[in-house]
Amino acid sequence: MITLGTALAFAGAAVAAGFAGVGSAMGVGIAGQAGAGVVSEDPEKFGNVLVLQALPGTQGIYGLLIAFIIVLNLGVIDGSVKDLTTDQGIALFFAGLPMAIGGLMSGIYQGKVAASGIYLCAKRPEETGKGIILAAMVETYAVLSLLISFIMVNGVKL
Amino acid sequence: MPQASYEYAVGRISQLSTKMLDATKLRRIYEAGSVQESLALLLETGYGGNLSPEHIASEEIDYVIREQLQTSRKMVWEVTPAPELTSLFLLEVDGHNLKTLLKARLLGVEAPDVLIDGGSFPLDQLKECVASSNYDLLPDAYRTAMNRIEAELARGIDPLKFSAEIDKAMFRHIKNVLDKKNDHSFVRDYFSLQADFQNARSVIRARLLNWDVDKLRLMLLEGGEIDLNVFLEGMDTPMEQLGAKFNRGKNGKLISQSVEEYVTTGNASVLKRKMETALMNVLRSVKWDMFSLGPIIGYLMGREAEAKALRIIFGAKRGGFEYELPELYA
Repeated sequence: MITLGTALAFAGAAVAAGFAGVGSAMGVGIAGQAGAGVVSEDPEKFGNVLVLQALPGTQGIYGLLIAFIIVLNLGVIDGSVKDLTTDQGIALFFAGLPMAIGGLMSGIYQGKVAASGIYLCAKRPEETGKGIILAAMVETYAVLSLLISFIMVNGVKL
Repeated sequence: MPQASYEYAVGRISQLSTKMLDATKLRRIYEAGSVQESLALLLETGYGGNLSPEHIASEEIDYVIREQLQTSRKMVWEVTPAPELTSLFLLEVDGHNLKTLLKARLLGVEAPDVLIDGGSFPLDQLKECVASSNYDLLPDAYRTAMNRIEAELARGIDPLKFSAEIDKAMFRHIKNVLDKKNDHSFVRDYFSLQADFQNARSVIRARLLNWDVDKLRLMLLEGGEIDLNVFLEGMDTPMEQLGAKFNRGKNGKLISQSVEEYVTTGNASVLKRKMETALMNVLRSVKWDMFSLGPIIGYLMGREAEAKALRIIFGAKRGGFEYELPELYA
C-alpha cells in the first residue's frame, strides 16, 4: 500500500513525461505534415526538413528526464518505493508541473515555427539555417521549464 | 495518400510556388527573339509540367496554359482541407462550362475543345445536366437560374441574359455557402469586393450603352457590401458624383476612388485593373497565414493571374504591341 504522498509524486512524474510528450508529439506532427508536403514535391529537401521536424522532439526527452529523476528519488528503480508524506508528494507534483506545462506549450509552438521554417526552406533552401534558429528560440522556454523542475525536484528532501 | 491538413497543403504549395512566374521572368519571356524562343524559355521555368519545347508548336501556347491551369486546379482540389470554400474559387470554370455547353446545345454543335476540366462540379455532370435540361444535381442557386434560363429559351435566345443569370447564380451560391458556414474570413471579403466592383462596372457599362434600369438589375450580383439599390440609383446620379455615391461599406472607399479615376481619365479599364489589384491584395494579406486557406487560394488565383498574363504577353508578342501586365501574385 503506497501513501498519498507517493501517489502524488508519481502523478508529478506522470504529468511531466505525459504532457511534455504530448507537446512534442503534436509539434513533431505539425512539422512532419509540413515536411511531407515539401518533400512530396522535392525529395532532395528531406535532410533539411528532417532537422526542422526533429526540433520539437526535445520537450518529450526533457519531460522524461524529470519523470526519471522523480521515480529514481522514489526508489522505484531499486525496487523499494519510499513512503512519502503528503507534503513531500505535493511538492514533487508541483515540481513536475513546469516541465509539463512548459513542455506541452513550447512543443506545439515550436512545431508551428518549425513548420514555417520548412516552408522557408521550400522557398529559399539557402535560408534553412535561419529557419532552424527561429525554431530553436522556442526551445529556450522548454529549457527554462526543465531547469526549474530540476531544481524543485532536487529541493525536496526525502 | 495526401493528408487533408493545412500544414501538408501549404508545404506542397510553398514548394510549387517557387516555380511561379514573376514580372522579371515574364519580361524575359516577352523579350525573347521569337515566339518559339519565348515558349522554350517558359517551359524551362517548369511551366506546363513535363512538356518539352520540341513537341510544342508556338501556336499551342494556349494548350500549355490550359494544361498548367488544370494541373494546378486539380492539385489544389486534392490537397485542400476546406473543399467547400475552395470550390467557390473554381466556380468561374463551371460558369464558363455551363455557358459554353448551353450555347453549343443551342447551336447544335459539340464544343469539347472549349470546355475546361477542374471546376467545382464534374464536367460530365454539367454535360449531362445541360443535355437533359435537368439541373436537379446542381446546388439551389444554379438549379433555379438554369431552370429560369430554360423557360426563357422557349420564348427566345438572349445570350447576355443567360450569361448574366449564370453569373448571378454563382454569387448567390457563394453567399449561400458562406452564410451556411458562417464564414467571415478573407473568402467573404474577396467575393464581396468582387461583387461590389463588378456591380460598379455594370453601372458604368449600362450608362455607356444606354441600358435601362431593368437591364442593369439583371446584371447586378449579390453578396457585396453595397446595397443593390445604390447601384440602381447610380443610373440617375451625375457622373461626377457617382464615386461618392458608391462610397459605402468597407469596400466603398476603394470603389469610389476607382470610379473617380474612371470619370477623370475616361478609361473604362481602370475599374478592372483596380479590381484585380484589390482582389490580389486580399489574397496577399493572408499569404503568410501559414495554417489557413490563404496560401492555398493565393496559389490557385496566382496561377490564374499568371495564365492571364501569359495570354496577354504571347498575344502582344504576336501582334507586336506593348503589353500591360495584370496583377501577379508571385
